[in-house]
Amino acid sequence: VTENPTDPTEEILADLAGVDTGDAPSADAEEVSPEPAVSRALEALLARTPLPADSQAAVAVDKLLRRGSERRVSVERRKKLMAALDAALAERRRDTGPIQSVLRSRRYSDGTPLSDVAVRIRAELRRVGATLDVDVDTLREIENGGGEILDTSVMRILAAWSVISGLPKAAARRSYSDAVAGLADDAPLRAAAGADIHEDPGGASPAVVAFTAFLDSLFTHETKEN
Amino acid sequence: MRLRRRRTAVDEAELIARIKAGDKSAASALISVLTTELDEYSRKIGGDLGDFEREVAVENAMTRVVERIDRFDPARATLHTWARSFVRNELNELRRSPREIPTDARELDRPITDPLTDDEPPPSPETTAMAALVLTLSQADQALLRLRVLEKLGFDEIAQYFGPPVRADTMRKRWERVQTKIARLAREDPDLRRYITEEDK
Repeated sequence: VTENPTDPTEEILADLAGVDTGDAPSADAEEVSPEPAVSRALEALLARTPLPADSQAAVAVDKLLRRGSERRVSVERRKKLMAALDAALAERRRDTGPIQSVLRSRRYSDGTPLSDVAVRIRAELRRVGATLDVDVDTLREIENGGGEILDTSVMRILAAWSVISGLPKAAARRSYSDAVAGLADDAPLRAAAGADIHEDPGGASPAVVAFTAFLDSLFTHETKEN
Repeated sequence: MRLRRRRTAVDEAELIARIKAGDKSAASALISVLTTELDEYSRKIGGDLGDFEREVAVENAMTRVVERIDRFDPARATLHTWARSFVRNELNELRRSPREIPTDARELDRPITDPLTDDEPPPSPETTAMAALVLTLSQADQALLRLRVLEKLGFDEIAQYFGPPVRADTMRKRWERVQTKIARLAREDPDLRRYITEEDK
């Protein structure tokens, strides 16, 4: 039961397991009290009570729960986990820019954080099989009709947003424009945009450029990763 | 004699720093440190679900660790304890909506929750008193309390972690003793007395 009896956490586990360590009577040697278990009210209070993270008991529990977990992770499983974790880590790297940090605190008109909107857009692109290095023809199919493409990144976003929101393409475009317009007077965002990117020579406000760049970075970054 | 396998030491603080920085090498380290432990844990507490669902739960939990690492507070939990809380959360999500989760669409609608830090009410006099009470228990009793209350493990599962000859009955009896101690101590505490009902007396 124990691996190293001189380790205090092993002593705790030995005590818990009812193994006589010589220092104290083993648990099973005690008489079981005839009293009933605690009430639900007390149990509920226990469940709400924060337990210390740095106690020997906590370390012992961590140690116990690592036992029996020596199996090797299969190659397939490892690949799958690596893909998921790589994506999450890539997102962390992306989240370090000034625009991203400002946008994380901003919300879409329905209250959804803009960063969540971006996550949903990216997830939708994945769901429909539009990988981030997707070609324009595939994106046109997603958009269900194509049309003149002014900006690939905006088109990708609109196509995904249309699918997510259930809005027709034109309404999705207006919805997207509303989101961008809502950012136009956002001073911290403008400041971040100014610090991070150049103004669109076509005349779009820094906020518009920032929002587009933020969403676009979801794709360009992962394309580089891939 | 038990032969101990050599483990590759991974410094937890360094690993956390690498995750925070989005360091690509953190993925491999995380898999080495957490996967088999979380797999085993999900098998223990997710026996009502299938292998596939449990794998998804662990995968999602590990992703959450990366996503939420800024919220990790070593004063409140170890990385392992924190990661297990995400496994519990993911398994509960799967139980609630089993058909919606195991795809990439998990990102679409689900809020990211951190069961150990989100929506935690500020400490009340009662929880403060109970925390102090818990500290008066033996370390072994505190360990059992964690296994039962925090990790949500049944007696059979705890016994399985120990392996033979430890039996579920041993754990059950010990738990009854712990509960009795808690009830007795709570009766003596002015902040906790009202939680004692007739069944505790």
